Amino acid sequence: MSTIDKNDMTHFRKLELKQHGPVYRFFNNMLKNPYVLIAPAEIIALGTTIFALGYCIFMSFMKWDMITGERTFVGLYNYKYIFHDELFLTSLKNTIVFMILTVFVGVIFKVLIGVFLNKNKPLHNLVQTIMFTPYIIATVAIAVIFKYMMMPNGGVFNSMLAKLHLPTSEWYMGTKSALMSLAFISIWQGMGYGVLIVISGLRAIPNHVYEAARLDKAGRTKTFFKITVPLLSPTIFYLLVTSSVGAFTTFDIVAMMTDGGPHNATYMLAYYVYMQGLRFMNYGRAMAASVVLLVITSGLSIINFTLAGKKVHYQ
Amino acid sequence: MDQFKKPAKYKKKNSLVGKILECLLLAFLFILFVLPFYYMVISSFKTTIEAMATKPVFWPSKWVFTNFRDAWKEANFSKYGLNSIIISASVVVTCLACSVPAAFAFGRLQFKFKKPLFAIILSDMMVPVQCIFLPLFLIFAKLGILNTYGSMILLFTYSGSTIFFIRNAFMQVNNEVLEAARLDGASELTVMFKVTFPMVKPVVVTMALMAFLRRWNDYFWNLSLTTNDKVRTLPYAINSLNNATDGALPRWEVTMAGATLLMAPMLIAYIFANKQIKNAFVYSGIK
Repeated sequence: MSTIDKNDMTHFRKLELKQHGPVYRFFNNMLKNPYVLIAPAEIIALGTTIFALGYCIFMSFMKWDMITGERTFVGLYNYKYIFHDELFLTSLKNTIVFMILTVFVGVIFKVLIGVFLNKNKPLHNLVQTIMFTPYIIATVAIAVIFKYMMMPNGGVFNSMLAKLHLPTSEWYMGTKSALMSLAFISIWQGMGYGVLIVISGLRAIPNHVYEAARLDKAGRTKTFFKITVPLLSPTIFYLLVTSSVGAFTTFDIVAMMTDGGPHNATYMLAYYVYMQGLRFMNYGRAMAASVVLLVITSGLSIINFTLAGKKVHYQ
Repeated sequence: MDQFKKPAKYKKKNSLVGKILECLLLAFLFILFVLPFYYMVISSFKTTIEAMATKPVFWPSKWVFTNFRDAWKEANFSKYGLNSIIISASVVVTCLACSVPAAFAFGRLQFKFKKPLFAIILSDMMVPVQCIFLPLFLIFAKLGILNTYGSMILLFTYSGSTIFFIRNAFMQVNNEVLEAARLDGASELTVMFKVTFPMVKPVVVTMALMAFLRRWNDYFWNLSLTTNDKVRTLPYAINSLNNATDGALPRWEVTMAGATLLMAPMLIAYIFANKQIKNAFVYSGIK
């Protein structure tokens, strides 16, 4: 249907082409050759993604001697090593805790606030627009703000809590609260995006469903759980998967705020890969850890694609 | 038909208590999302003493404008800022030059191996960056292109999602219009630039904006594919501002001023084009 058929060159076009020079004709012909059009993108994609990924998987089975530059095949040695590495297991555990915090708490709030703000009133829209701001601001700016506001001594958060006679916290400097603080910042930053997606999902629900519920005299809670949630389930599911992939690849906020500390309380998988690879130069281990990361995230993506194809809601 | 256009609403009588609760919730959300930015901007005008005071200062007693000058000097804005602008602007150009033709081919032409080739294009949406930064670092080191503008631009030139969305826009272009143009004797170039292009322009502009945004805010590639300061950009500089001190006291006000400067272009762009920017993200949400 949407092809540019070579045979449909009309008489007029032949006439027109004759009026142009060879350079113009050359480009005109190039435009009809799809392989030329896609070549740059394909080459970069193959080089920076497919080849790099293959290299990564290949190298995860190798031991790389940094001094002699010698590479030897060691099979699953790197995988065995990282699964016996205390630090790797800590970072895996931290990542999973972080994921549970950001994904479940985050998605529940995103849906609730999305439903609350979906009124198309100016004030609601204003708040929604403001909520989205952190998402487009550089994470480094956000990290810097929160580092300042979350200072245990003299930070805004603690002095506000003290004023309200609530217990203060060590925030990102305390072993127990550090991961929670990062999760809070992460949810805060992603909230606007989630709300935006939820609202666009809500707008897609046909209004007659709500009309019918109203005629049946269904209450608010019942309408929410029996209509909104099921019909919104593809959106909710999309949010669940993207935010869990996001949680597994969280790097910036860790590197900026805590450097994995205090006492490795915020050491996460992505940070482990970075440190092993570029700081300690254990390329084999780093790549083995990144393959573990790849398996987890692609598992999540595959679930997403198969379930999204089936549509999660039952209408 | 009018009543169907209204957003979903529960037509229950809203009591006064409900109204008040609604306003309180709105106010809470407003404060939660405005306060950090407000505090950042305000703090960049404070004196060092006020910035470090144990009692937070929400309105500085003396406005210090030199903090911005200090931040500019301390973070070497003229160098990193220039890097940021050079790289982000080039990325917009190269990204579009690479994506639009590819998207056109995938959206409007039929050819052999289209599906597997498109799968390769989409691969970067599936592969986490942690898997590829180390191989890329090693490859780039071997090629001798670490710490060059070219390598930093190259990485953001191709983006699977950009091609995907522009392709969708091309697929929605009405075929009859193109046929009519061809019958009128327009060449392929004319068809592309005079007919197809204007129809996909909004999506392309949005994607250009996203490419700029991605590169401007990037920190990870800055850190992982460079070994010196030559081509690093602003986010890196702002992060190292954290360590700016004045003898013993950390100079938070300078850090805040730096962060404000980093944020300002994006914030201004968002104030003027928030509809378009939000739409761009809604696009990318509906896969």
